[in-house]
Formats: sequence, C-alpha cells, structure tokens
Amino acid sequence: MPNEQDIEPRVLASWRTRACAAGVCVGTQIFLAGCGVGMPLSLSSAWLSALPSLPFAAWLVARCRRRLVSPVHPGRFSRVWHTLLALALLACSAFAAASLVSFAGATLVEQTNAAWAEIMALSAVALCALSGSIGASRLCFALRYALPALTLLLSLAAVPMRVPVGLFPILGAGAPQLAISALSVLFGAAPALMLMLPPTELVHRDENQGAVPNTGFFLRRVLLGALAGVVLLFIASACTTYESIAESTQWGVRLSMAIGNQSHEGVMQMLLVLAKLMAMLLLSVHMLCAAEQALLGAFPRLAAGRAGLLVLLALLGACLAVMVLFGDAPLLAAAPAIAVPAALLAAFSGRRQHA
Amino acid sequence: MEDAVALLESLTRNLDIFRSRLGAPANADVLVRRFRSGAFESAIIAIDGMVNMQMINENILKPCMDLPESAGEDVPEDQRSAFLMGHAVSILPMKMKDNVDAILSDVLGGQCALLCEGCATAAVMDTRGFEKRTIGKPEVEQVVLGPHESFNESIRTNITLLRRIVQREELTTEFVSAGGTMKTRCALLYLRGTADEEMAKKIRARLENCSYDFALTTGTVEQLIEEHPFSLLPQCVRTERPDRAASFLAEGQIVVLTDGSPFALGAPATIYHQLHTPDDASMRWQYGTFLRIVRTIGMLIHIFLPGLYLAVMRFHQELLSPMLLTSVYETSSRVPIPLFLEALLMTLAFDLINEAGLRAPGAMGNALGIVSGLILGQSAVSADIVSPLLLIVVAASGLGGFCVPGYAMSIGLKLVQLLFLVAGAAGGLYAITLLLGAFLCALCAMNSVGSPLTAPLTPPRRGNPDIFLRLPMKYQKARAFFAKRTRH
Repeated sequence: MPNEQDIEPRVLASWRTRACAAGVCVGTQIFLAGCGVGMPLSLSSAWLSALPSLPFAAWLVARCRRRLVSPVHPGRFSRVWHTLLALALLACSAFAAASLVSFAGATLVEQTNAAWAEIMALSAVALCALSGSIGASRLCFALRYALPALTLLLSLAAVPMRVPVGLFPILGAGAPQLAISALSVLFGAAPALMLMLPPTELVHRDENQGAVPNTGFFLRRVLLGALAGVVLLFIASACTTYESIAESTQWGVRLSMAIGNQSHEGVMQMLLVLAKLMAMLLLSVHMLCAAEQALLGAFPRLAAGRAGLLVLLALLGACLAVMVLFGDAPLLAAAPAIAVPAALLAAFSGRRQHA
Repeated sequence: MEDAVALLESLTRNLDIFRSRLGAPANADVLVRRFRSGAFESAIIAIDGMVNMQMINENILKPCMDLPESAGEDVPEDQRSAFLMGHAVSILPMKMKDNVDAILSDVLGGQCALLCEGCATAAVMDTRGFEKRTIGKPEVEQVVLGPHESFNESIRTNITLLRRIVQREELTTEFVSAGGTMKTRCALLYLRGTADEEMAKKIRARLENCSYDFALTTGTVEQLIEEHPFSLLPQCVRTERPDRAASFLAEGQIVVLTDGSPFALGAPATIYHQLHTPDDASMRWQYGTFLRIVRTIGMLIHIFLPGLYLAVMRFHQELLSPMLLTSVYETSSRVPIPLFLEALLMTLAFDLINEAGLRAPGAMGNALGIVSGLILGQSAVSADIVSPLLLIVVAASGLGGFCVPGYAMSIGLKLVQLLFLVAGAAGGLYAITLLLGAFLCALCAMNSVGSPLTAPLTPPRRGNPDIFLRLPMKYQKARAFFAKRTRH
C-alpha cells in the first residue's frame, strides 16, 4: 500500500480533489434519491431505499481503487467498458440536470416556462463542462465542508419548530417494492463510478502511472461527503416543504414561504434551495465531465475539438427534451438499465485484475 | 527584415552598414564619430538624447584620443577593441559583440558601440543618459501606513529600487526582449532557490516567442504571459510599489518589469493576491483581517447586488416584507421604462460618471463625479425616470466596486456584475445560481503560469496561509505554495 507521504503533493492534491468531488456527488445523489426529487417513486420509503447506497458506494470505491492500480489495457472489452461507463455517468448527469430543473420549478421559478428553465440549466452545465472536470472538482473540494454545513445550518433554521409533519417519510409509508429499492441504492451510489477514472490533470502525465493512494484515502473522503447527503436527507424529510415538491400539483415552497409567519423563514428556505441547486449543478457537471473522460477512453478520436463533450451535451439535451415531452418516466426506466450493467462490469473487471 | 549579419574587419564598411540600417545621415539622431586612437582609427555610434554625452566625452573619447600614436601598434587587429577597453576606456558595464543586430538593438536602447579598424568585434558600453521621471509617491496603490515610493518608467531605476529592499545574493535579473518588430526590454527578477525557475523559463519563452509586433506596456506584457485570454479576470498581479514587488519575490513569485512602464507584474498569482493591499501587511493582523473582510463584502455587493435586486423584484417578491413591497411598487409604477432596462441604464450611467471623472483633468474629475452623482441622481428620481431604491442599489454596488484593490480586477468584476444583472432579469435566483456555478467552475479551472489560480484553498497545497484572513506573524510563512521549496 503506498503511503500518502510517498506521493508527490501535487498528485496527491489531484486525488484529494477527485475523491472529495466524488463524495459530494454521492451525497447529492443520495439526497436526490431519498427525498424523491430524482426518483419520485421511492419517496414513500426514502430512508429504506436511499440509506443502503452508503455501503454500496463504499464497495464501489474499493473496487474503483483496484481499477486505478491496474488501469484497463487496450483490449477486447476496454471500449465496451468505457462506453457503458460513459452512458451510466451520462444518465446520472441527465438525472441531476432534470432534478435541478424540476426542483427549481417547484421552488424558485414556478411561473417560468419549463423549456426555458431547461435551456438555462443546459447552458450552465455546458459552460461548466467547457472548463473541464478540473474546475468542477476544485469547486467541489472548496465547498466540501462549506456547502453541507451551510445547508445544514439553513435547514435547521428553516425547519419550523412546530409539529414536524414531514417526519412521515422517515418512517416510510409501507414496505417499498424490492426492485425500486435496489434501483434507488444503485442510483444513489452511482457517482462513485467516476473514481474509476484518474483525475484529468494527470491523464497526460507520468504521474498517472505512479502510485495511487490506498483505499482508505478514498473511502474517508467519499463517505464524508456522502454522510452529508444522509444528514441533508434527514433534515429534508423533517421539512414540510419537500412533501409539496413531491406532489407536483401543489404549490411548492413559494407558497410555504409566502404564508410563513416569520419573514426570515422565507429567506432561509430560499438560501437552502439555492445551496441544493448548486449541489445538483455540480453533480450534473461532474458526471458529464467523467462521462466525457470515459467516452474518450473508448473513442480517443473524439478528443479533437472536444467532440466527445459536444456529443454528450447533445445527448443530455435530448434527455431533458424527453423529460419535457414525456415526464420522468422514460428516464427512470432507462437509468437502471444503463447503470446496472456498468456497475456489474466494474465489479467483474476489478475482481479479475485483483486476481 | 534583413538577415542578421556579423561585423566586418573594415571600419568604413561597418559604419556604412550601421548608417544604412539607421537611415543616417537623413536620420538626425544618429551620432557617428570617427577618431584616431593610438595607432589605428576607431568610431563611436550612439543615438542623440539617449546617451550621456559627458560620460562618452570624458570616459571614452578623451582617453582614446589622448593615447600616443604608437599605442596599440603591436596589438593584433582583432584585439583592438579589447585593447582600448583595457587601456583607455573607463566605463564598467561593457560587452563585446560581433553581431550587427545585437549591437543595433543595444545602441537603440541608449548604449554606445565602439568599433575599431581591422577588428570584427565591437565594445558595447552602457552610457544611457536619457531623461526620466523621479521617484514619486504611488498614485494607484496609496497606503496609510507603509512606504511612499513607487516605480517610475526607467527599468534600471526600478531594478535598483527592488535591489535596495531585497539585498540577497540569490536575487537574479534576466533581460528579455518582448515583441516582434519593436522590441521592448523586460526584466525577469526572481530569487534563486525560492522561485520555481521552470516558471521563469516559461515566462521567458512566452515573451520571446510572441508574434505580437510590439509590447510597449505592462498590460500588453501581462497578456503575453497569461494562459486564459478569454477570461474576465486578470491572471497576474500588478503593483507600482517596490515594497510589494519585494514581497512577491520573497513569496516565490517572478517579478516582470517592463521598460517604460511604472508597474511590476507578479506571476504566478492567485485570485487572493488581487484582494490584498500593501496596507494589510503594514498593520497589525487584526486590522488587516478586518479590512479584508470589509473589502470582500464590498466586492460581493458590487457583483451581486444589482442582479439580486432584479431577481427579487421580478421573480421573488415574497422575500420582501409587504410594507417594503408596497412602497417599492408605488415608486416603480411611475417609472416609464422596464425594470431591467432601468437597472442596466443606471449601472451604465454610474460607469459613465466614473470613467468621465477618471479622464477629466485634475481636480475637475472629483467635481465632475460629485456633480453628476448628486445632481443627476436627484433629478432623475424627482423626474420619475428611476426609482429611488434602484438608485441606492446602484450606488451601493458602485461603492463596493471601489473596494476592489486592483484596477484591472475591478473592471473585470464590473463585467461579471453585468452578467449577473442579465441572469437576475432572465431567471431570478435560479439563473444567478447557475451562472455562479459556471463562473466558479471556470475560475477554479484557471491557472497562472501553470499554477492554480484558486490554490492553496483548492486544490489543496501547503504554503503561506495568507488567503482571506491574516494571521499573527508567527503563523505567517513567507513562501507560497508555488515556491520551489518551503520551510516547513
């Protein structure tokens, strides 16, 4: 096992930012699954379906580290593996972007046209992705404590101190269907797949071939970020407003804020929503950049003119358009079908290389 | 462009080459003086006004012409320049050169060349003596506590000012010529063993290999060094103060001085350098920290306030109390133009007053600012052209902009402010959050001479913790994360 002190500080810093970004992404994804923004079907059993994502994410991280130690060689399955990984990560990005739009629509801009909100979200994701995953990773690292801490503080300040009616999702409304629970678990842990790819700063450098930090290094950082997601999930479940988001026919947070007795409550809710929107944006960008990296692993020629990113942005735009036309159902159906084989392939390849 | 040619042995032909290249005798500034120096003939080439005539007369011409006629008879012809240097000329900075282009470049820079008959090597001597501004008080970076001297337009004076503060054997000065056809002399200063010399190499290569015709000012040189030409924010830190430039050197930065420009560039820089002022280090750490917090708040107000105002007024009225909302709507209803246009016009009007005040001569600029700000603002509100709340918002935002220490940075942030204004009008807080994410991602991805602009905060690096807050002196470290090695 390489010692952290043996790795060059600049390389170690790249790994740290990558691992912390993965942690923030897993945390946000668990939050999306748990409070039903990303997977509305699982809302009635938020905890039951989202919490097992944590150990699953840990397992994925352990697998990913093995993959980094023995990077995949150009071979028969390399292209298939990279393509599947790219599609799985793209699905995560699409879900995060879709969640971003629906969450914003229910809270901030419900009078705005959904298509216009989606165009804005897609533009922001494209602008962020054009800077590459380095910018998003560094931003995640900078916000790794600030964003969850801010969200936690704002949540505590925003949750009314009266009857916590929102506690009902914590208890669960009946046993969830086994299949949906399994998909939620996979969905929550999927961002950890990005750790199968090295930081982009190191892709064209010799450092990439050098030592990789041990599994504990990654586990600590990813689980710390993911735990923030679980804490948020708890707060979100206790917060009345998220019930109304799930039932899209209701007015949403705007109404809650408007009728609040305390004016500062509205401001707190607003800031809370903004912090979560930022987390969703980062998740979407990160997944898209990781998908680009995986796609370039499969088709290196797409690196010219960033054609890979353009292809993925087009696909992301198509996903969002599908969401506008047909709702969440097609994406919900497609995501597990892509993520499950990718996760299985990752586990399989990790085991073989380790052997 | 003519090919580089070597000097010939014939003095007459050499002088013809120089006369031809410099356009003499039509070019009245060219000084060519042919004289007898002992047993052979010599000549001096210089540019009138650029050289110190007294120094040339007393230290070169007179001693050479006073040599006895037999002096240098036995000296081989190719050693004649060296002979004069050893036996007659008494000027210290001197180089032997045999390339016409190199000699011409030095002559045009204010040095003089001494050529001898039969010798294909010229002695180039530093006889610069052109007029220059004296060392004055800083005009852009004024401080309450701390030194009160600034750089001037002479690169040599500026280097001397720096050397007077940094009296260390490791301080190295390298001269580089930047620009294509009209070359500008730049000096790269760094502390050997502290600064990363690979970065100095990188900067030198960028300056030498630029395809731009001329780089006359520090601003142009800065653009040649930076890596992200489309970024709104500067990637080098600029100062007119020798003490601050010295602190850059101590931190491990490379300082770039440009001949004819009273500013020094520090590279690599971080985004936090742009928010620091020399005052921070001159005061006790508590005061410095407090001022930095005030400055940061001012900067945030400058960037976000107009955009937030539009967002709240157009999309999130529930954030205002009913009393305030009623009052705002009452005054806004009388304004004939849409809210976005009103905000945009007011912001641009503020920039107009600012720019006019800056360009107006002397004390008139201050009066112009006061007259425009007070009278026009009051009149516009009275005439119901703008709402009073918007006027407060724009004025507060403008005031915040003046807290940003760097002029280049403040202009960059002004553009960012306009982007957030448009975002606030287009999609309220939702669009502002999205734009903020995109802006921060782009910022975090930027590098300055290969060093992350947002480090050591992100990516994490060990080094000087002087980022947002100042700490007591015992916790401060001189060297930044980009320095060659740190002392911890």
